[in-house]
Amino acid sequence: MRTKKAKLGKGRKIFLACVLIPTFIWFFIFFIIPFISVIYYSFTNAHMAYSDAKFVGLGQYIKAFSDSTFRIALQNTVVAAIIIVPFTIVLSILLAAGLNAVGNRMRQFLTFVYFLPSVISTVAVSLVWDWLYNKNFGLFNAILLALGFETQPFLTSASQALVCLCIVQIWAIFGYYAVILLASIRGIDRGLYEAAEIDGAGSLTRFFKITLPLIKNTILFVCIMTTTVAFMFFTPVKILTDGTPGTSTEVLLLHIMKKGIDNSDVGYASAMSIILMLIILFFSAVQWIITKERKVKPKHYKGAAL
Amino acid sequence: MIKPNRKKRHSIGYYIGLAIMLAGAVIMILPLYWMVMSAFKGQTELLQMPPTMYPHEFVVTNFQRVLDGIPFLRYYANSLVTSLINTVAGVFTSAIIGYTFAKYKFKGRDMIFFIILAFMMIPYDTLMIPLYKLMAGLHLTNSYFVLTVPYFCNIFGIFLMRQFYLDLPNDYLEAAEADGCGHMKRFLKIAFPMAKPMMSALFIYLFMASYNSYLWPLISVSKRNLFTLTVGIGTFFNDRGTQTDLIMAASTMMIIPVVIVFSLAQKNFVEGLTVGGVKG
Repeated sequence: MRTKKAKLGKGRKIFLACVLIPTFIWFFIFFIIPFISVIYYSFTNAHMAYSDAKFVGLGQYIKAFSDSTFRIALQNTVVAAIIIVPFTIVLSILLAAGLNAVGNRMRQFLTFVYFLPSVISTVAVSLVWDWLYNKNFGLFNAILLALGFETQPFLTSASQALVCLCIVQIWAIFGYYAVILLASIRGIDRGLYEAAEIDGAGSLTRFFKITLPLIKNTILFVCIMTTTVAFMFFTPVKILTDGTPGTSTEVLLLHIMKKGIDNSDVGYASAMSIILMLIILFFSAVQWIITKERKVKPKHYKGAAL
Repeated sequence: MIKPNRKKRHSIGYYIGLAIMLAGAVIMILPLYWMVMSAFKGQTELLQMPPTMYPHEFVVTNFQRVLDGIPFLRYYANSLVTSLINTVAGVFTSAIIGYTFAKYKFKGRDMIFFIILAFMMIPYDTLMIPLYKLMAGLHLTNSYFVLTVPYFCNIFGIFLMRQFYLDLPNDYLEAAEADGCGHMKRFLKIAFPMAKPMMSALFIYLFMASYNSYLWPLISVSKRNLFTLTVGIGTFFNDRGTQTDLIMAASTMMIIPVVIVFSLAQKNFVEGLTVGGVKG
């Protein structure tokens, strides 16, 4: 049922023009120009206020790697990704498996609760976490005190701030990925589990031998999404610490915005944008290649018929 | 599959798992609970140590003070109106572009579609600096233009709608053609209404994306009367970070509509926001 050759009607050309020309213009302005410019600017000393830009070759890239703040931002971003990605993926897989195991009512209720943070604006979410983390009056420190521990500085400590921000991010997104995975798990043919049960496979075996392999494509999707989110880590950082204390929570996107918008250094910000883009594309490609090697085609994969 | 004749006995592991999930649910809901409770507390009670688990004295003046202190309703209106415009436009463009790529053959079609999809791989936030420079050069920053038009097309939406129309049999369209229906009319009267279930999910997805978007409005708009809620509250927090009661009241007001809609239409919501995920 593929596309049939549409008959050459009178209005066909007009219709196509009406759809394709505005589409092309929109994509040209909002994708193609920015994409070409970000590459072009990264080799120039472009500035927000001036229209002329001088070609500086790899100057901006060299500047990036000799800029200690950039190196710190890169390091912090990688650390954040190392924390966010595995935790998000493991938690969301476990939660999806758990949600799949409980009854309908309970599943509906738990899905609601775990999904809620991902519906709410990250800005509002970050603000309440700031209050929870408050050094003197925050709930977390109150709990620590009540349990007889020492209070912690959390966001005001250079060693704790980044981890605290990662927790906010994980809290905000893992329920969303769990629901995506759950949809995929529920698409698996029940008969497979029943057959395995008859063969005497325990629930752990069933999970590792049936569930995981069959939702592999969705896990890959979640991995790529999470990696992108982690490297584009921005909103909680901007709201809660803005890179402080010192440069301990300076992350790449934040540094790019500071240089590009606040300092108007478009050339430099573009070079860093390209580096960030390449990192993300690299990881997406790696994850894609790893999973493509052993091809598992999920049967009865809900939604695959879309 | 439901097995009515055999009631399954759950193992201990099941109950441990359930207990962990319920405990996790408490942790998930705690920050939101704390937000709302703090919004109703007075200054003194708010800074009490140890804190009260719920306001012993309900204070509603916090909300009034937010409305008096910042043009909160203006931010609200900006957010709601631009999100609505963006969503309606986004759903329509996704449908008509997806339809065109699915049902019409033209030179370079597959090539163009491949290029469009390839752009989906590029994290859009990395293009914001040149986009900002472009918009600033055209004197379009600080206008409703930058809050709307950049959101009008969504590659993912196009992809989704194209899939839908690929699976839609041509019979209806051919029948309409035989009746003398023009191309535009065929889309508007037949193809567009048929995609309703898919579009309602896409609608929620695009609405949330627009309503919650932060980075682009943050950099492209600096006039206060154009602030959306995310930017307005973020700025409010930077100005008066210590007034936690007001910050919490503002955050509560910001999330309440979303939470209410989410509670009422959870099923559609989950569908809307996982519409991409299930595709893998």
